[in-house]
Amino acid sequence: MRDTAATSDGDLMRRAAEGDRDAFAELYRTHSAQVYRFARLMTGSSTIAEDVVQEVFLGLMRGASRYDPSRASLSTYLYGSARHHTRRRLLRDRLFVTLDQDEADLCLPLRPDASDELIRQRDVQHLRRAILRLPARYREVIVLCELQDVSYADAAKALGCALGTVRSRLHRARHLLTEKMQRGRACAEAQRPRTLRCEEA
Amino acid sequence: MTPKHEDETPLTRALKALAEIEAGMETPAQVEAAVMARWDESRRSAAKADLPRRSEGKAGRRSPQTVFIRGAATMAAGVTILAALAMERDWRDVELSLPASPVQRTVPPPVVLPERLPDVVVRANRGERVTESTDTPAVERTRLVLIGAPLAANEPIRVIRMRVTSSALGELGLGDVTSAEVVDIDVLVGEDGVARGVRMSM
Repeated sequence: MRDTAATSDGDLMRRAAEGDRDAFAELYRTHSAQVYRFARLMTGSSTIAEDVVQEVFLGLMRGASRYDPSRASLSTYLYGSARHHTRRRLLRDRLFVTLDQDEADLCLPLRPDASDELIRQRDVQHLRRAILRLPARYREVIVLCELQDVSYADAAKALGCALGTVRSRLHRARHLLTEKMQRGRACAEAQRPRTLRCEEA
Repeated sequence: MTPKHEDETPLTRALKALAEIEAGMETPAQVEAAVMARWDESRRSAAKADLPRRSEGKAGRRSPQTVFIRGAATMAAGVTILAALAMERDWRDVELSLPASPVQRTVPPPVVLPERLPDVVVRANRGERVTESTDTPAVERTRLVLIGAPLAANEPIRVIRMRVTSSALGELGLGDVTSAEVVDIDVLVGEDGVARGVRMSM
């Protein structure tokens, strides 16, 4: 399956390098969503994610002939490029925690009749906040391996580090996430009585 | 260890839930439109860049006469350039073969003190800060202030005449010697470029 996809990507890239518009459009439709999700989870901003998608595919457009399918799959190549552009953007904007800006955009639609859904949504919100507060190197592995379902080997290639480094970072990232979520839940619990009093008043 | 495992379960659950939510996210359509517009633009500019090359290709099928004339013109231009370069080289050689004249020194030769130093300097070297010259009182009275290392016998020195304000003399201990606003002084500079003393007219 993977080999077929790689062959297909390689063929599409070759055609795109020759100027085939349809091949490039096909590449975009196949891979843009993964780049968009990665950038969105890394930055917490849909706007930045859209910019990153554009920059990644413009780079692909210019350097289509430079892509070497024998070194890495196109997905890995695009993740690497997306990581580069995301980091650059974050450094430029100093926007490491951006949830407040696009919080409404990132929230699920509320369904007040389902309490399980509310709890799930609250946990997801805490998780989003916790992920955005992780250092970039830990955030990357969580986004790639846990949320994008990328294999450790591909993540290591995309991040330009060893497989063992990905494993250790993932372990550390999970530990940090657990701590942050616990803290977030504790804060929410502490705020609850005040809310009740307001409602009673 | 047990609490850690208990904590990881909600984390795993939340991660799965977030992954499910994110899996449904698609890139907005306007991004695709923008990217494809850039693609079209880049292809158009690439086609424009190719256009002159294609026109050159058509023009490449020229008559043998034109090719000969062009070749001859190119060769003539090359010969002209080579000749010009050779001539320029000759001129350079002529310039280089001119006898090198010694560099004219603008700095006056150093003043060499006589073997026997004047009494003023000798006394100043002993530690007297200010010494009044008594050698030629009839001609000119000068005051010499030694600064820095004392003058050695046969040490070549340079004398630099400077015009300074009288207020600057105060720092050298000569502030009260004249009422003039501007004073001419001689600075004695050793071989190492360090000032040895200051001499001024009384």
